[in-house]
Amino acid sequence: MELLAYTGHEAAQQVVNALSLGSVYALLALGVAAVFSVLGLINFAHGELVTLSGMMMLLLGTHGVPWPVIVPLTILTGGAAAIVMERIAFRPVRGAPAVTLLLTSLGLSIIIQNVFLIAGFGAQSKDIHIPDWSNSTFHVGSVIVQWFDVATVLSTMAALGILTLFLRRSVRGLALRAASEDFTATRMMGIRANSVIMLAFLISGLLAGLAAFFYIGALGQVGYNYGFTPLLKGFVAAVIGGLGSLTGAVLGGFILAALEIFFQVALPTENTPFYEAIVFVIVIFVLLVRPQGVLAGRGIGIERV
Amino acid sequence: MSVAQGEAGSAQALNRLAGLTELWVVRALLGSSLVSVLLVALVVGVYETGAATTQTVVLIFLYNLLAVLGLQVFTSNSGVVSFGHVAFMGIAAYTTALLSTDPATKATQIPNAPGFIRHAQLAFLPSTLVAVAVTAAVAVPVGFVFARLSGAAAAIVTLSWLLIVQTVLANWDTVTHGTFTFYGIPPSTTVWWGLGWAVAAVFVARLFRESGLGLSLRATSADPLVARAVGVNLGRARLAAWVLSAAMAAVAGVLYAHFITALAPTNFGFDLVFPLLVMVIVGGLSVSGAVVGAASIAFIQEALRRIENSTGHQGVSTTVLAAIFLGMMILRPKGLLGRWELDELLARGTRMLHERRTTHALAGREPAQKGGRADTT
Repeated sequence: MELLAYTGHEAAQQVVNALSLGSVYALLALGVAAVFSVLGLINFAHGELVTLSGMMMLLLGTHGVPWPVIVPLTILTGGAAAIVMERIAFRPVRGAPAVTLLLTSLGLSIIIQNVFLIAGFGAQSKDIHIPDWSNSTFHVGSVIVQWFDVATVLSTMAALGILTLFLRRSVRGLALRAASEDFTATRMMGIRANSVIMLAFLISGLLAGLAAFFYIGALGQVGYNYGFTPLLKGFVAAVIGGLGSLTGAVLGGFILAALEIFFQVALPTENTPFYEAIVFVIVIFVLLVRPQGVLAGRGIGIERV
Repeated sequence: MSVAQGEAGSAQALNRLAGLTELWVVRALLGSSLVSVLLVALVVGVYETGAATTQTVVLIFLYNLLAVLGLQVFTSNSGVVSFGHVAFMGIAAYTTALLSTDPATKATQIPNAPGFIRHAQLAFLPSTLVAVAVTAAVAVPVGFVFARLSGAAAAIVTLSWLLIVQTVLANWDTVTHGTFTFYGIPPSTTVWWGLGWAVAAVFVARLFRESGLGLSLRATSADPLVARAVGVNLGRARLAAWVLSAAMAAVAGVLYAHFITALAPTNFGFDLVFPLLVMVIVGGLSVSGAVVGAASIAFIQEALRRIENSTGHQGVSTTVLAAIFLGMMILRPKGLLGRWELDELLARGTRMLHERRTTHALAGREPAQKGGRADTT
């Protein structure tokens, strides 16, 4: 009943919000899925890539570095950190059972968080001042649109476009797609395992860096434990889409954002805080009905070699 | 009666005893007795000789141990990692808090709660039992949903479950006092209650492990397809382990509530999950492994906490804990004891010692030489 009373332009406003939120979720989910599709590893430390990139933003911002320089450096920080992570922590356990991989990434995530905490960052989160233009808005009819949201959606589209081109047109991209289908066969074709895995982590890290710019930018602050929520969103979105499927991850990101915004709006005010619980219940049921996700990826209940 | 006859008689008795240990119940009871004796000796020894702070550490160790044993029953037998057991601790902790707190205190905190909650004032044991029953009742339908999942799906679903429970605890204002701290829980947790429950949990966990259900669950963990082919009902075995482990986690939650005496929903978050997982994984897949893991990590944690307090560096203890965990994952992913129980290791050790001695006597040369053991077998 309440939904029917909802007017057209309010709905349009929520669609704009969902698109912006969905873009960030899609980037996060894609980053999680890129590594999972090749290694069968759920990388709990993906959230720490976001935090690290966010801290780079903070550091460069407080030193007065101009934004056109900060943006690429933020993204590169994510990529570089992901490669270091792979080299130090994940290579020694490569080929171990899925549970070992999962727990290794969890341990790594906790270590990085606490290193942030000890290495002078402290328990307090710190403010990041993003440029003023991003907070300015414009109107389309009665819908208010923030320039930051426009930048988020457009950058995501651009990143997805570049990634798609890379995966479809380049040999390395082809190798990555082949590895996500069948890693053993790909190696038999003469593709080095290390190169594929490094590439998967690099892509995952760059996506985390880009997502960090918009996620941390929208929050306007960063703290040592800010990685958990983005990890969770990316993880859930990737699962909804089907963890092995990259297209599914993007779709999952938008579905998750749409669900969250829908329940935030549709629930009666006194029950609004429960929206997150309801979204999780839906996720669980999606998994039960379609364990392989909305777009069939790899069956995620089955252990990978 | 000749000496030879007497010897034959005692050999027969020994054989009968050996025959008895073939029975899983006997093996489980003997094994858990050994672990319990060591546990009681350790706890009583440390508690009676320790200062007040050390006694607090022992209490913390005991409720952690219960949670770890609960997690062991599910995770170590099924090979499926659960992030959701802390949710069961939370449900049980709040249930016992609501049932046992003085009605006058409740009237100021949750004046709009249903009457039977506001007026309830149960003693420690009945309150514990009700909390365990409530938690187990919640675990059954949840388990039906979860029993089919493993790997990444299980990770996300159990994590979702934890967050669902946390959201409900934080927002069900009329009953849980919402995000505010619920205070005034009677401080009933003593070392004797904790120790009693811990010993009971050691027995229950070991009996489950050796039972048909436990064996079939371990088979599904080793190879789900083969287990299915020999007729194991994976869903049933996992559900049984899930509910049992939830009930054990519930006891941990109750002990925690009556130890800390004030609860907030944030107490049952992801932060608590990690140390418990570390304890289970570091110890190994067996029940003794869980006890060894919980004890050694508790010891390390306390040592680090003292260093942390004296140097003022927040986060050092968690970092070291995670580093130990990571090193373990890389070097010895099966944990300290691997899949062995203490008594199994002991039996294996004595058997090897015995074999070596026999070989030595038969061959008349150093047993260390290659092929020495093969001669006798």
